[in-house]
Amino acid sequence: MTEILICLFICFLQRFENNYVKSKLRVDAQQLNEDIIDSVATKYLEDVKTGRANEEGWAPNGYQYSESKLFLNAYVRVLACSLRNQPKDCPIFVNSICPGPMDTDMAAGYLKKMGLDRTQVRGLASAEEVSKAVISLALLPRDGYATGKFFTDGHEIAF
Amino acid sequence: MVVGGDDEQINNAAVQKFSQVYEDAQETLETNYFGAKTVTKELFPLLRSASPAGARIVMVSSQNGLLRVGNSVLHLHVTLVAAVFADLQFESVADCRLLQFLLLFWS
Repeated sequence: MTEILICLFICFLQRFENNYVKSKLRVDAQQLNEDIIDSVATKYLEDVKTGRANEEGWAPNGYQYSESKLFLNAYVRVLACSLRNQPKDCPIFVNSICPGPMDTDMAAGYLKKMGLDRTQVRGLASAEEVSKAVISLALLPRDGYATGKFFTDGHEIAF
Repeated sequence: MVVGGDDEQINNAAVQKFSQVYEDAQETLETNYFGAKTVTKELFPLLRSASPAGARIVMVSSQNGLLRVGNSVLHLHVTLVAAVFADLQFESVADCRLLQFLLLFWS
């Protein structure tokens, strides 16, 4: 148990930081726009191309998935913000669902990389659970409905 | 996918690759970010004609894509470790490999 706690502690201490991304994306949604996100995405691809991705503080070892979802989440904020001007009688809500590790083929690929299989890992969300969450988010009543938000397990979470 | 007529849009498509090759990074971004964006924009006219109940777009994304997670894969590791050790039940094989992997990864 102690080993695990130490290990988790080390993980938290060594979390990756990318100040460039933060300065660009950690701003109010009103200050953010699609061009900014696209330029960050383009810079990321350039850094990968020139082999500087790790040096520049991007997600390590080719986990482009994290970065792609970061840009998608940032876009959700921008889109939600721009849709606030929709006519009152025809609003459009946009939200992001962030389920965390799921028991899917995608996670199986990740686990395989670690030499594990899905039977050894508990607590993964099933596709059925997450699809229910997606549907409920899509069908929530209009009153007080959120927009530009992020959800996991039915709760709103911070970007 | 447009569900139930023209007022719900759920974007789910995504790819994940474990590679450092530029072409894979490009494909991932083009599918998960640029692709989702393009689809959303293309289907926008349908949503605009939606009912007064309001149209909804749901992006199926990832906790890995949250800025506060330090836009790293770390969060996934931590969550997976937590998942493995949930209820303090230990599986020796999983324990060793996960710890080994984590230590190697951040050394």
